[in-house]
Amino acid sequence: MKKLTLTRGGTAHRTIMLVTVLVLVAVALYLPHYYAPYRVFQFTEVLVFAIAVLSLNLLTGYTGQISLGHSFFFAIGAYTTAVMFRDLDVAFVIPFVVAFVVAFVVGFLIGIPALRLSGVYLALVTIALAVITPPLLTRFEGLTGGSQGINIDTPTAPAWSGLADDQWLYYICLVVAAVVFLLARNLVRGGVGLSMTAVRDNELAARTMGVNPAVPKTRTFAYSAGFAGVAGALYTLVVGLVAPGSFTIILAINLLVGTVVGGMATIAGAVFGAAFIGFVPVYTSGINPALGGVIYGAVVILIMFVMPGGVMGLARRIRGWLVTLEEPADRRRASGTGQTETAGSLPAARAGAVDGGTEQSGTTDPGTAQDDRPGEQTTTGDRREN
Amino acid sequence: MPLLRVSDLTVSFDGVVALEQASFDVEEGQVCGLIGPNGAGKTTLFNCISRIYQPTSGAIEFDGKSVLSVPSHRISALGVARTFQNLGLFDSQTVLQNVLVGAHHRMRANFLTSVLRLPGVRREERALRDEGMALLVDLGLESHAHQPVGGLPFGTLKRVEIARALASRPRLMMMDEPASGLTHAEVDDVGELLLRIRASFGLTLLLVEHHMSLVMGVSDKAVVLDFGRKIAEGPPSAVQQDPAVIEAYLGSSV
Repeated sequence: MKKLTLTRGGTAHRTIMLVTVLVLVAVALYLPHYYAPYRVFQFTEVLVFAIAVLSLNLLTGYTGQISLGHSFFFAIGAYTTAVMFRDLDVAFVIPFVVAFVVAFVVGFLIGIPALRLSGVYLALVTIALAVITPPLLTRFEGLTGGSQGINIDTPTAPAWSGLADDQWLYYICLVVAAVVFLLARNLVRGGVGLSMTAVRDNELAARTMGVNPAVPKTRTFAYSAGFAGVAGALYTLVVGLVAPGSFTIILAINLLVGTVVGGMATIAGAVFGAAFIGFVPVYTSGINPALGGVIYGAVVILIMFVMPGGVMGLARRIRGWLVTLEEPADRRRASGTGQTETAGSLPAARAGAVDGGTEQSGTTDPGTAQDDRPGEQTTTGDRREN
Repeated sequence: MPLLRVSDLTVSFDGVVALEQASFDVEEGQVCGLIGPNGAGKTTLFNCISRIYQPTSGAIEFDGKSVLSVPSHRISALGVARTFQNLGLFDSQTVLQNVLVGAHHRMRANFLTSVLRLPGVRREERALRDEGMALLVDLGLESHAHQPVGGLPFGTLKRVEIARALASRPRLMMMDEPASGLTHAEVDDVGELLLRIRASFGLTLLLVEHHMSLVMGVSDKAVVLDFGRKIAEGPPSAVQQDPAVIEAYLGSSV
């Protein structure tokens, strides 16, 4: 079969990307109208777990800090929300924000001692977090409802929407997930994301290049915990019950399984990872209720052998078989230094003579194409004339 | 005032002395070759200037300021860049991304502005990318820009490291064996490249290298270390004739 050749950021490439995204969005929007309520509920859960898996992937995939304690941050978000719904008459959005902030701050604080540890030592310390979560929740009965947990009323669909409650919940989770995925993508795509992977790949070289490893590590810990908290908040909303038994180390391990199965250091992989931990245990129990756990474990092992890069790694390999992605010719040439408002920190940009040439939009990288503004001028002069 | 002044630098690890009372100056614009047999302490010296090792005693001044009070991640902002002997690249990143990390200290975007992807973040990213791309073009690496560094040939990666170091806009560039592992033809290219980037970027170079013809060809002065001690310093032609240097390289004639 002949391989398709595409130019990165070219019309064909962008069309394919756009169509893919539109199809996915359409499927995501249509799902709750196609399936029965119990299925919709499962998909809603998958969305919740997708946020949690993504949060862990930021930390473990991008900065290489292994956490086996993300059930802790998930529980913080879940209980913060449950307590707020029980004790306060709060508007709908506020619990998400509070859950994010509380988990974010706790995550940041835990991220500081975590700086001194890496690899399996950090994993061990975070296991402690996961282990203490259920007893801690049981202990402070006045606040957490002890082993009984807290019941709250799950939101009902407003009349104007014309939706059933399960559909309404699904859409809430879809919107929140979309926002979190967008924020996470923002974080990893630029220079900050590069500092995260640089620290993971080679901490010493990163430091020599001016990256203070403590910054990406503690900040990522905080954002990761915060997003896990948001997932926990959604969980409370969806399930309507929080109890210590839901936040055991099994949850933390499942999140790590989801991270690896989806693909380390990928954003979209979290959806597949979450679908895996959401659906596969159900199916394996269906095959044989007594051996469900064993079959699930075997499937995880099999996947690690067959697709070590996870679902996204496999997707990239398949794309590699089908498509050759070429860089557009103009990006290979020197385009000089952009004359921008950051020029204050870039002496060369100031020194370069402006020749008034504007870059052609449409031939640049899709990530930057939207930043093309007609007024932005580029120079073709020497990079460093001073 | 010299750009770099190393005075009485001593480094010992658990009683093993890696550097002993080493002192020398590098003037602005010079190419200073640092030579000596294996284990002479050359890389140790680099690691002291990079603040990876803490010297036991002695001082290092860059542009009149003590380097020893600065943490390692601020050295690059001072204007000191380096390349590594056995490469210190970020394997999961592309060539261009590696170069962008080199410009990290000039980046103003932080986690908060990035997570919201404010307009300033996009503009800065675009400016730095264009600049990094121009550097890659300068070093003949533009065709590799979007390839992951894992899998590229060693000689290419050596150049990527140079591009990454240049991205920090250094005044002093420390290069740890830029020609090691290269073919003969590539070694000649390196010599030309060093002189060219010195001229076009206004650099001062501190060069550790075992290819004698290369060091002697490009250096304005040479400093010879042996067992952590400086045994000779001066113009390359004079250093080559120095009996102590000959003995260090060829062994005692007794």
